[in-house]
Amino acid sequence: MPSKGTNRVSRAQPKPHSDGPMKTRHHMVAPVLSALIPGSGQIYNRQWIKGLMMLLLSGFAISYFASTLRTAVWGMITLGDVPSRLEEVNGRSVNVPGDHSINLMIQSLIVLFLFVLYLIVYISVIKDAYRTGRKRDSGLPPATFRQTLTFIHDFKFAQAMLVLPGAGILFLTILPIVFMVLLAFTNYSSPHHIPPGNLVDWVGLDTFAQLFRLSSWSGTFLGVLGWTVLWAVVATATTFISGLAVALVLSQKEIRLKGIWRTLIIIPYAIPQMISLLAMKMMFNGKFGPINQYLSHFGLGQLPWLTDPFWAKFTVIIVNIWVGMPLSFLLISSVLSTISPDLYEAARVEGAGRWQQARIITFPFIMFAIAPILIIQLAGNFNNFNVIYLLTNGGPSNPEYQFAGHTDLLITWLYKLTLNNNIYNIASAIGIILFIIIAGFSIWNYRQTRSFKDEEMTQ
Amino acid sequence: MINRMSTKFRVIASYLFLAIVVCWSLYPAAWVVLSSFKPGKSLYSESFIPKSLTLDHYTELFQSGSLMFSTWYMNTFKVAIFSMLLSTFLVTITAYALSRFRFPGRKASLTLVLVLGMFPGFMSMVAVYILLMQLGLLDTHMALVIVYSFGSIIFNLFVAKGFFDTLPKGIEEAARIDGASNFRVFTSIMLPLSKPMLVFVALTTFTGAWVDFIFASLVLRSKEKWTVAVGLYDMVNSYQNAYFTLFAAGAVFIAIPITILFMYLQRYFVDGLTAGANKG
Amino acid sequence: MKRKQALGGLAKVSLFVLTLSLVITTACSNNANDPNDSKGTGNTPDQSKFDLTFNKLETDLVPEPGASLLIWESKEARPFVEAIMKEFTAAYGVEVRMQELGTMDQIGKFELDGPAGLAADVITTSQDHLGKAASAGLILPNDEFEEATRSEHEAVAVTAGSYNNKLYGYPIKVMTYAMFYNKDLISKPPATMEEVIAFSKTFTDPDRNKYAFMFDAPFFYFSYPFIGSTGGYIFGNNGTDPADIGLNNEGAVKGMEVFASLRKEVLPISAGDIASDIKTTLFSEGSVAMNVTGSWFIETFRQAGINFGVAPIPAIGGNDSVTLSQVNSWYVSAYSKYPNAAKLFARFASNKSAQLLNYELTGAVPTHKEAAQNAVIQGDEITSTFYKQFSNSHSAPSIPEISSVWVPMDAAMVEIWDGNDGKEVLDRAVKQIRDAMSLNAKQGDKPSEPGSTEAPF
Repeated sequence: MPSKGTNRVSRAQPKPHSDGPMKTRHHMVAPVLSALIPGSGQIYNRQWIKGLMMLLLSGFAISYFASTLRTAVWGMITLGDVPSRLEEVNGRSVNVPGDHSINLMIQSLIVLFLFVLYLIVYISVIKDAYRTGRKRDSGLPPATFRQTLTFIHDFKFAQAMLVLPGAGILFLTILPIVFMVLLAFTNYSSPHHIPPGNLVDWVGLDTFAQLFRLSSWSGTFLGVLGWTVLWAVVATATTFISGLAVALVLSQKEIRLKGIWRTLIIIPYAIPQMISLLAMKMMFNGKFGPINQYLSHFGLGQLPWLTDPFWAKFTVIIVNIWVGMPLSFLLISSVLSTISPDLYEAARVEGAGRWQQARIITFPFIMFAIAPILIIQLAGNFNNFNVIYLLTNGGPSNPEYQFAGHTDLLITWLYKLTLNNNIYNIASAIGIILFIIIAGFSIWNYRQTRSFKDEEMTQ
Repeated sequence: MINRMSTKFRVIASYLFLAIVVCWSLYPAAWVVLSSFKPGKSLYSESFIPKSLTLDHYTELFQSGSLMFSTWYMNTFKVAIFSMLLSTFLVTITAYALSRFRFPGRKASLTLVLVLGMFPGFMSMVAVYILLMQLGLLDTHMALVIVYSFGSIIFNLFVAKGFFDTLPKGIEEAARIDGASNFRVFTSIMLPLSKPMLVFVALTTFTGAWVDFIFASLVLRSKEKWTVAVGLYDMVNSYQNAYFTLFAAGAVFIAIPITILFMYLQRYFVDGLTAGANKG
Repeated sequence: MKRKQALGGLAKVSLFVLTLSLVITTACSNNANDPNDSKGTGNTPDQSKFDLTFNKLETDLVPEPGASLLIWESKEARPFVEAIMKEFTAAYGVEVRMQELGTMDQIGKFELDGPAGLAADVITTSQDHLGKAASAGLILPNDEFEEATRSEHEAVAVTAGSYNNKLYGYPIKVMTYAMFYNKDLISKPPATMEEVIAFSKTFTDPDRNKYAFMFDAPFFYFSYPFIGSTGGYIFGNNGTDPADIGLNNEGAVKGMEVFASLRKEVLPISAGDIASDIKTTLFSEGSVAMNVTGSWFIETFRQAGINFGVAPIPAIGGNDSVTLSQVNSWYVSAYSKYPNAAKLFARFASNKSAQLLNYELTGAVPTHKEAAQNAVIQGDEITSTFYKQFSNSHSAPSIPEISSVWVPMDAAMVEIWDGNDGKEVLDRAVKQIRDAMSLNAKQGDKPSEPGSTEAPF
């Protein structure tokens, strides 16, 4: 299996050096040179193209960091010295721009991230010079540029493929998350610490301390957390079970026109949630919504779908099934269709009934393929912003809670804290706690799934 | 005889069940469609089918001076197509590398991606805003394409990787013995086999661009750059006057391309997956 | 084989979708003119009822050479902004563009776009966002035209445009709500809530969706008369002292009793089900006799073709009803490249002629004293009623602490409407507001921090 190869040195066709073995010290000289001037070690090793590329890259990097790194470190430590302010010039107020703490923090992060990346390149350039030097010491010629490329293609194919996606994720996802985490350790909050008219400062763990000192906050946190967990579990289970039920029913061989049924069933997925949820909100209106109008037509009582704490929770779950079932259905359907009919045939020959066939063949198959997706859905439901925000906006309100209602999830609560109240630091602290809970749970769970432990089931 | 009876009963019950599911799925959709023909601004109506119907909202979508629906539509189309292409490429190479190769840090990377998907995204949006500002990409469609595509790696990786996991190892080993390089194995053996997965990823990113209003409204700051979702949300998010019926008409226009795509692709998606897996 | 067909199908579909959308967009794009670049196609003031003159302002301030301006205003204000932009360009030769943006969303967007250099030069918002904008250093004070603004506009409007005793705003219009009533259903508007209850007994019939009196009970903004009329208030000292919260005082509790009684006697719907959207429809259909809402709905009801009038909100607990009011003002961006041109525009678009024009084109209620005294406006029953209600209103506070008030108070309104004890709920809401404020304030307590004191301007 060549893909397993993580060899340090290419063993492709070793050719003895024409000069024969000689006591050389290339493995010392090359890395030292590269450490001083990255790329020079490669040139010393007669790897011209690689060396030149590294030289160019380093030249570019050094000129970039020379002008930015100091500011970045200073910005990260101080978060700015002078806020922007108004000054009188000839009797007129003029805005004098100062340091914008938040922008400064993000800009510094970008530079620091780039710098770490460059450091990694720098170290590998030194390592590479050392390795090639060793190779030359043992009398082998240095790899040509073409050989290097072939080596990457043959043995570092996966890593090479991952460079672009990795860089994108680093800057577009990881960097913003690091920024958000850092906010929890500042005093960035309305009304006194909103830049650019004010500076934001580091406050250490103060934010967390406040969050737990104020009982109304910690009470809200625990209450909302409890419902969030319940919601995530129930919402995931109900969409999965309903998707499974519909998929199983539709997969029976007696059912005709499968394509048409399938199309009709997945239509909810094609309608933007923003639209369907606002429509649902209207439909579930206890007084004027069509659902209660029908109920009273049939002489049944009207239900407080969105206004009673219990029923509101019930309604969001029901609506979530509507929203989420089609995707589960689609995924499960496709897994079902991968199960070979021979398996069922064999089971039938062994005398297994329909239920037994389902139990020994269908469910294990589905679970193997779907389990990681279920975990992702579960985590997604923890953060299911749309359904709650657009349908109930957290309501009905809970008088015991600080800025939260009965159906508020941690994420919608966070949104209210940031958007309505601009308490960014508290919101960030809550976000971190939320993240630790979800991530811990998911990692543990994911590592339990067979798809992680034993990925070669189909072998 | 009893067996036949019970089969018949089971089939009838199944059809009944499916009919109920379809009614439940279609009712809100039908409600939105009907609302779009309703006069006035409100979705509220005394009866399921409004007393009078009008096409006014559709004409207003395209003729009103303050709405730029056709521009938004074109913008969305552009963003959706390009994000679809870029994200399919990125997701495929990422999932392929993480599924078919073994290298140090592989499991850690997988766990990292899993975890990253769980962060409440909107809180870090400010950082993305500043990053795009530094790159001079604010208020451009390119920014949206980039953000959507890299975002889709995180959301689609596990589906895609799961798919590659199910492809038998035998295929590529046979190809390698024949002297095929990594690149060739990927492009001429694995890629053709993974069409259903590609369709899945393409489809989800394509629809994503049509429905996202949170991120798009952060990146696209001027009205002529908006996508339809941003424009529609703006119609109902106004504190003073909400245009629900106009919103419904716009919604119908978003749902049409997505539904048509789905109608054709889902069959292909499911059938294709079967074909891929049964080869092994 | 099958897959090939499917792929062929796929190609066809995408082609179909592509052509469909192309046809749609190209067919229709001709009609859509570009509103972001409109340079004034609104009514020309030549046909105006008023004698309007738009000359250069009397000041030595001149626009920067090559200046051009971007304005943010709401959809509803478009006709006015387009007209005034045209006049401004004619007077000063400065190009002006408008972008539509709701007045409630402007500061949030400005926080990001200002420093990024994408924001407008002149923005519009109401005073409940002013404190945040001013303390964050996002806007410039109204220094050039301070004296003129103070003397020409209503005191409430000047207060609304000021923060920390500094004037920032260039007032545009007054925003408050009053009671619309359907003249075909109720000939004379009731003067007190008792009369409303009496009328309701003869009219309200929930089974047929007939309601005598509807208002957005779950929103504190619209329920404020039941606090403010009987002695409650948000912040003391004219809305400037966050330590003095008057939302659970005796008067507020008394008003809440009237509020709760309306649930039983007038509007038997739970708070969560009162959607303003439905309320508007029902009033437009003639199913609701009285509807409390803002002046921005005048046009909607006119189009619906109902015979309506506007009256002040009926007296509560024997006191004239006090509403919560806002003043929309222009504010000049601290990030504007052309602050002089921007200041000139803000002043130009808020003087007497501009406000009369605004009234004429959008029905805006003026803040300019002379404009408000104009015979045409005085003779306009609807506008003068709104003006009357405005003069009997509390101005929404402009200090940034106001942002901690809305959410707990909205929740409290829902609670009380749905039958909980008024005193208890209000006390709890006030505690929440204090908690939220203390959280923010605490971090400012460190004496050594440079940013901890009030911004030094």
